[in-house]
Amino acid sequence: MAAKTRGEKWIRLLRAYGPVADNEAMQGEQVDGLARTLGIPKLAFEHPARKLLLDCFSLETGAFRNVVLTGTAGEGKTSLCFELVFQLTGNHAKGVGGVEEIRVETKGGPRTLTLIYDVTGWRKRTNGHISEGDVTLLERMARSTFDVGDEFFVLAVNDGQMHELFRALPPDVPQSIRKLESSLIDLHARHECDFGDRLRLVNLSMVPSERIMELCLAAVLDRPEWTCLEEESENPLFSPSFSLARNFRTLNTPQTRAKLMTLARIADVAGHHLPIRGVLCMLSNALLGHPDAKDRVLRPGPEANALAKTGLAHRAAFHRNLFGENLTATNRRKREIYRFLSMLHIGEETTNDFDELLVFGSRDQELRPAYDELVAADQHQQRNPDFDTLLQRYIRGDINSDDETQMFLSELAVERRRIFIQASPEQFLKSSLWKTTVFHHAREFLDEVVAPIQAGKAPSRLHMRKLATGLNRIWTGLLLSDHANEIYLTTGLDLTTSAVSDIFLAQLELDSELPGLEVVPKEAGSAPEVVLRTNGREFRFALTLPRFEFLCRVADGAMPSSFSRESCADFMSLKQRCLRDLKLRASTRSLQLIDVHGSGTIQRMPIHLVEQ
Amino acid sequence: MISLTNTEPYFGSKDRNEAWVAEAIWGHRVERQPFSALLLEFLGMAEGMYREGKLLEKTQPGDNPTYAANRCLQLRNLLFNNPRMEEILRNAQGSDEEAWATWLQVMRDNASLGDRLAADFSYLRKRFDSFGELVSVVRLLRRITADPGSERSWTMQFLFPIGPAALYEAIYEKGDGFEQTRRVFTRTGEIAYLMLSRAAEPLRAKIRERLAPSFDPNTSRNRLVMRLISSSEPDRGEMKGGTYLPYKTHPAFNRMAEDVAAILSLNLPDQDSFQYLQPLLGFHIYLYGIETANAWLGNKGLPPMTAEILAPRSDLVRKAAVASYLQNDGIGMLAVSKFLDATVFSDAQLQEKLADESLDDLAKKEYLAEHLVRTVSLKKNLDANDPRRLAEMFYSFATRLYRNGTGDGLTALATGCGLVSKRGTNRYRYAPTDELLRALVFANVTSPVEESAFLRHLYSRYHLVIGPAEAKDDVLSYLFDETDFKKNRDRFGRHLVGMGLARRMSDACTYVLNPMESFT
Repeated sequence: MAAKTRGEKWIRLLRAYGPVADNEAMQGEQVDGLARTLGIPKLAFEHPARKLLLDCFSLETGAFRNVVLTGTAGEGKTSLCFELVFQLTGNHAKGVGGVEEIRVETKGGPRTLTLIYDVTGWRKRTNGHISEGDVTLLERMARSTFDVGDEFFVLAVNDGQMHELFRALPPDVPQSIRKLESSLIDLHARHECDFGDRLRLVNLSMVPSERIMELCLAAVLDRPEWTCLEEESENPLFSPSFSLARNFRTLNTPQTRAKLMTLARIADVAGHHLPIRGVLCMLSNALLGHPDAKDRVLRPGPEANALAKTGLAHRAAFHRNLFGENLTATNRRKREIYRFLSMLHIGEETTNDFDELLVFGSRDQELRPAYDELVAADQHQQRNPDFDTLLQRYIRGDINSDDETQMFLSELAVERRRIFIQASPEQFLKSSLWKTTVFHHAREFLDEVVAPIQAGKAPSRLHMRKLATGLNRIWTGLLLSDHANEIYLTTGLDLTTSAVSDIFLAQLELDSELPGLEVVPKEAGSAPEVVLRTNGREFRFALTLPRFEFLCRVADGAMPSSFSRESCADFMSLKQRCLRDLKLRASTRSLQLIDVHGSGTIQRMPIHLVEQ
Repeated sequence: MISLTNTEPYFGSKDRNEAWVAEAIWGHRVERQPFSALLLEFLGMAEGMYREGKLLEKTQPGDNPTYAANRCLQLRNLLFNNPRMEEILRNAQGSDEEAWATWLQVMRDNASLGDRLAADFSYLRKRFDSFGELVSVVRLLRRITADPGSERSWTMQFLFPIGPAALYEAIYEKGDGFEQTRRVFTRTGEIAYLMLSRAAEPLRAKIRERLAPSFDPNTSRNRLVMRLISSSEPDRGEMKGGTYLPYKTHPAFNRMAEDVAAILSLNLPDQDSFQYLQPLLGFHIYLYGIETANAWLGNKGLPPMTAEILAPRSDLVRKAAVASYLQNDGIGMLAVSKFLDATVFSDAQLQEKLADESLDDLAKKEYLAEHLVRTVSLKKNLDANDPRRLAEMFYSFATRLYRNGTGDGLTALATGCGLVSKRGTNRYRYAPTDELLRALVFANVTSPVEESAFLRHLYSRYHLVIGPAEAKDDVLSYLFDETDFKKNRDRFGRHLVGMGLARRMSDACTYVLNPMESFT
């Protein structure tokens, strides 16, 4: 049924970005089509990689580069190519057959630029391999990359398609194309950008998730069409008591926006990338999701009107939709963004103080003020009104069946998620809400490590010592002091990675002139790096949030291998590389065995290897 | 590969073999042993050859490469035949003199050093400042005992190979002396050495250069071991040899050598490379085993191995992995039959005798029995009345020998290296462990490679079938399900990402990485 009002049209458009069935194959072009039909402009913002791309084509100097523009589906590759054509020629791209050739006059002379922005449309196959003509074009691109010439290329391709393209090359392609292939794979896999000065890989997945979240939030929320919530409030869809209005108001608060920005920062430092399409999908679903709608997302029309009258808006509350609770498990699983959110386990970890507040807060005089402020305050009516009844049954011990216990626990987790989303920064800190997630130390990581180093300062000494303690305990297998001032590099008698490694190799001082342990920033959107120095050499590794969390937990007393086998194996592999790259060898005159005193300090015991 | 021009007959005596069948096909001898013994026996032979300046010199099937392995009797008595040391230290209550005196006496009475060494450990007093220091070194070395907790006798206890002096041969006590035994070191490790010794020269040179530092007697760890041995070099056993590998060339030889060379090229610290070499040696001998059997059946290359990446519940991949394992387990027996058809029963003179109507059944049986002794050194007297019955009995005898010998040895290698397991079910199947996958990534990845290209590589190099693209052609249609194999591939990717061996770029692209390749 066609949408009638402006508000309904806007919702139709916003819905197209959500996790609806036809979104899978929906390309930028199709959203364009829908936007045109509806007469509502699509979501738009300046692409964060735009400058990176335009910088490769300076009309001032004529110094062009070949560019491969890659990323996941929905990152905006095609739009960027269209924009480039417009910038260079002043004309709109024709967009026929997935390929376009333009001629550009520059101060350095004329240049020809071939853009392939739809590889599937452009590529022709014969006998399972790409056609001779396509091979010739790739050969020209390879020649331009490794040689000289005035002809340049832009290839916009999904990372999966890039490999498919190279896989489909006939076996006898010229060596130069193979060189192009290996150079690109190397740049891509190593997160690098330039090969010489004539080839650049612009990987849109490298744009910081935080920046993408900021742009997407603005693109969705700062739209004039939202006046529909006031102007069309008689329409059940836009009624203040229905989920859409409540969810919009929840999202459009500084607290929630900041919370989503933090989640995006977490993605960056945990080594995840949130693509534009994923973020838009998440936002669209958080607003429009409804578990009782036909395809779990509201569609303007009779169905939405009927749902609005049921009075069950809390079933589609923002903090439920945000994590995809309204969607089927299959639909959730196939989207990276929900896999990321579920990996955080938000609300799934129990914490004594906070759970006490949630369960007994309304009944306990002492807890009551905190309860009223944090739990009962629910400005946009997002809380499940049945939760109190469930809670009462739980407290009275009336919950007997496994099913009901399960339901109570899952509702308790939902409640923790609600507060996680709604809490102000002060409340968040006071109740240590990161403890309800898998990353108990996320705040310390962002505020005490990442933020200072980005501001050019060192992280606090306390946190450096914590890192050192964690490293010492994992790498030696011994319960060393929890206030380490130095890092001990040790090895086992048999293997570097022995569970107990007590042969001393080197000691790195945190406070030496050139610190033995340092955390240094990397480019925006990446985790910082740890640098270990000794023996005139250094060893670096990325300090991702999962690694930081593991080090902190171990420093706090967790047993490395029982806390996370995977992280433990990761650190063992790092240790093997570290000792190799620092070229540390035991002395041939004596072996220094280390032993731990009760206080966690070490004692060295030499074993002489030569006659006195 | 199995042609006569590519083999040479065994040089030695076959007197101690019940028949020479599996030995002629796979070599003398691949048999079940504790998995740790494979690497130790291999290194022991390599060390012996290194000492003679012959490490990985080319060998031929008809040669008899011999070497003398270390015995290290003092060391072994100190570590594994010295149960009272800690007690003596405790009881001496700080009196060093008393501790030494008591302990030296106990050792004089109880240590077992054969006829060439005296049970006198007083040399240690000059080497250690105190008895306590000696005890701490013994304690330290005992920590690296191979297969701790195994109930083998002290003469069959081994150390992690931290240096040449920590490598010594398996022996057993006989009378006042010792004899070599092939019970723990079954020769399978020597087969591994012989396989490498027949790889291409550039590969052998590479391995030689990179393995040699492991045999350097002057490393700190080897010095630690040598402090417990009175002489400047370890005591050694008699020369040994007699291991037979039938083929001059075989695709398995270079394949194994390439992987060994790749691991050694990672320049891992100290002996860390052994951690990866150990499963790879087992893996490659198993591949050699099934590829050889496949060749006897007239097929080229390795048979496919459908591998399940451990799934939470049974699906078609698991069924295909079980079927594929059973199939490959069965081809060994078929190879034995083919071998007997081709080398024993195709003999023209035998056929003529068996067809000769002037001879009665008894005479024909007698002739066949002699023929079996001549061709395959059959020792056992098979009780049959006629040649047909004798032939039947012999076929079944030979396959039983294979089952309990080489067949069992190959199963032990496949499970030991982590290729085959019963995890989560009660039947053997190909289900590689994370440790084996790590070794395969270390051996095969030098620069980032896209996951599907890596799966294709594992398929073309080892015939390992993991993802749907490879399974499509090789898995029987009723066991093939695209979705199940996709899930298998996804699990493969997830395992590698979890182990830090892969980086996921997006839903459509994952790179397999070798974390050790950043070496500069």
